[in-house]
Amino acid sequence: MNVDKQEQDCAVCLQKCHHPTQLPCGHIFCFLCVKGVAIQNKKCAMCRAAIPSDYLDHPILLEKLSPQQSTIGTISEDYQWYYEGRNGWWKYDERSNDELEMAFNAGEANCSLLLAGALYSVDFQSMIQVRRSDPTRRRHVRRDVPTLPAKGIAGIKTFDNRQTEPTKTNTENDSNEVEVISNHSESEVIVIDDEEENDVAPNVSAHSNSSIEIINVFSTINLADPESPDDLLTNEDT
Amino acid sequence: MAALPRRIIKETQRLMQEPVPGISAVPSETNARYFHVIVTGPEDSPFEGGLFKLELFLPEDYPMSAPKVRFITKIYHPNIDRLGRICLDILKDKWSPALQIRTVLLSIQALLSAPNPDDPLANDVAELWKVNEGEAIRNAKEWTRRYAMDN
Repeated sequence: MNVDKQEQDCAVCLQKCHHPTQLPCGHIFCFLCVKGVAIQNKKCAMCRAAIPSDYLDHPILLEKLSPQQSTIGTISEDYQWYYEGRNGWWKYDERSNDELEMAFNAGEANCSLLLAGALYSVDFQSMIQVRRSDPTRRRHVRRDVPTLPAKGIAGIKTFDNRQTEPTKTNTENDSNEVEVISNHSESEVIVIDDEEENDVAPNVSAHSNSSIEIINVFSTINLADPESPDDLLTNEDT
Repeated sequence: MAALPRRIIKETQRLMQEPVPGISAVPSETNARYFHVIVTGPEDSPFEGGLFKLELFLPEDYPMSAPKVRFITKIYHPNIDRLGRICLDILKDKWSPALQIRTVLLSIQALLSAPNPDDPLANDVAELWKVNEGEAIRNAKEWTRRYAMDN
């Protein structure tokens, strides 16, 4: 067995670390793997050291996330998959994007994704992502050019001067986004968004060509969203 | 219909390419999350010479939660009950997503070498193991001969 190669892999997903993130004990995993572990196991997967309950408010990301960074995957140069968030769309991480693109191009009806320890199914007909263990948690998804204005990648938010801030309907919407500073590049500001899946509004077309139109609809829905930041600590999602 | 997470595919491939000595784990043809397992009884244990069948199932949120493992072959062991359920910390509160099918099965094999009657699941077996270890070991050997050697 190639030990060197093994050591580069994330011990949770057994793949190369994506957006490597370091826990206080020093162990490094993918950002999404850390998220799953922090929510579900609350202990480091390697040494079982407790993960502070507020760790996800300011995770230590070891690599810069450039605003230009979109998709690294080889087969996904042309298209990027997005999932809906509050006031905008998030890009799927590179690996999930590859899997979605591969399943979509293979003509499959849906694609299963393991995101932060939870299993999701993306239905290509309705363009909706559903959490397998809780089908009421759903989000719209879309497949589009990689250059659409996005909030960030997989919950890691980048500030981009060229990009306008997401439409804000009220200040409450921002309470779930917490600024964190990466310890490796002081100037880099990353915002982690732990927002919940929204209920899918039945009157919204999943295939709408206008992202603005969809954003506005979901902004309205968010106003009535009863979630508080405290709830999100125990009930978070990708 | 559900595609298999990469991690499960990778683990399965490695189990095939680099099998653990004394352990075989083969995914079911109809369900890639369900494994047919055979563990050989460790040397110098009352289970030596036996081939023990187990079933292993990877739940949907694996690896965030532990695999479900059960002995199918009857076994006389203080930490394994009549239904084949296993009392092993890493299958419960000590589970970590960095553990794998391979490490779980190695731990189960190690449990056969080191029965722990102070943390019993089969109370009658554990009791005998504590008060008369010789007789308990004779029982374990007899069960191994009777149930784990004729396949």
